[in-house]
Amino acid sequence: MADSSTESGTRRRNRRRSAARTARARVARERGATAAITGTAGQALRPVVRDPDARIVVDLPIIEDPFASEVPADRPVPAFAHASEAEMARILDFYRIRWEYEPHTFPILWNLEGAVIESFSPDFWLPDLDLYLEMTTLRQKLVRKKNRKLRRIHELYPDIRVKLYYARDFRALMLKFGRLALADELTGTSGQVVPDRSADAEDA
Amino acid sequence: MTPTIDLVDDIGEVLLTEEEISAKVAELGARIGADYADRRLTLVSVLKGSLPFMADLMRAIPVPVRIDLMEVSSYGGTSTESSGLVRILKDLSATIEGEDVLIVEDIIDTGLTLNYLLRYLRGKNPKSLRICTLLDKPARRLVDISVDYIGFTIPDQFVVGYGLDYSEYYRNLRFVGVLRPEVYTSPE
Repeated sequence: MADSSTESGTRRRNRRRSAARTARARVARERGATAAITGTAGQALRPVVRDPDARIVVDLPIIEDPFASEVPADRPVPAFAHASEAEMARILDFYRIRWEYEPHTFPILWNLEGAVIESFSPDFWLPDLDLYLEMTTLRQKLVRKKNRKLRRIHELYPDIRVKLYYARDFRALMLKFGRLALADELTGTSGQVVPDRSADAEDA
Repeated sequence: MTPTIDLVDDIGEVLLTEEEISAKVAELGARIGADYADRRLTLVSVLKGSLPFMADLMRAIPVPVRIDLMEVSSYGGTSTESSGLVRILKDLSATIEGEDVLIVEDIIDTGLTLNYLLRYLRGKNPKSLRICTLLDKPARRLVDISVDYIGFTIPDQFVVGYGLDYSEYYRNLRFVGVLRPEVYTSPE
């Protein structure tokens, strides 16, 4: 038989535990937190939190990107000739489109001796899409020159696909992402990250 | 500063009226119903823009359908996001393995988001995976994607309404309109 002092101690402990539970529940209520809920798919969700403005914010589980390994974080970043190219690389990374920067050069003009005097290196090669992407966010004069090069590419290499991305295309892309101001910063000569490059080099 | 939104004055041109959209949705619904007769179809809508289209389309399809919703984060341009892991903000709530699935999109322009989504959903082994979009803007296409049902092919203009937004506004317009450039080029 337990003595009365032991029973009394047990009751005190139980009362303290009960009081602690009540206090924790009160604090939780005051913070607006509720117990964890379960979604329709049986997936446990984190607590629903009501903010002071009575908006309900549900902190959904983080779903890991199954394609993250395709874009390793420690991959070396090439020396982009223009800031818009760097931005495009980030966009492609975000959407898990694999790319290589200027990996191939296509001769488009030869002299009488057969030496290459003009060539074209599209900015990006997107191997999964079998597509080259050329950014043209520079001055109109250079755009004309690039259009001419692209026509030559189509004549000489009809099987390769090159998409020319004009300043207006880049601008529309930035508008879509709510970053139009950035497009204005990155297009044109102000977006060049190598200011001492010659026009021809920029245009290549 | 909170932008001033004017649902009338901010629209330069009505591209598609409520009536035109309604007629097209009915037409698409009938086509989809015929194609998926006697099959188990799951419509997957991509939040938030396709919500009005999904709501109208599912009621225009005369065969039993299940619906599910997904939300995919959009590019924001910061270096952390470019290497971040979160892409799917809201996943499917039920399995689609062995199911006929139709992705319901509001608009396809670059195809970047849809390309990512297709890869993700293919990994869930559906029986079939097709695409229905209300609007197609091929001039902006970066990723070639075969689209099975297209409502309207539209010119290269920035459109809002019927779920499509600019800065999260204009989604509640009953029509699709071209946003006046002054709205998004005006200094903040």
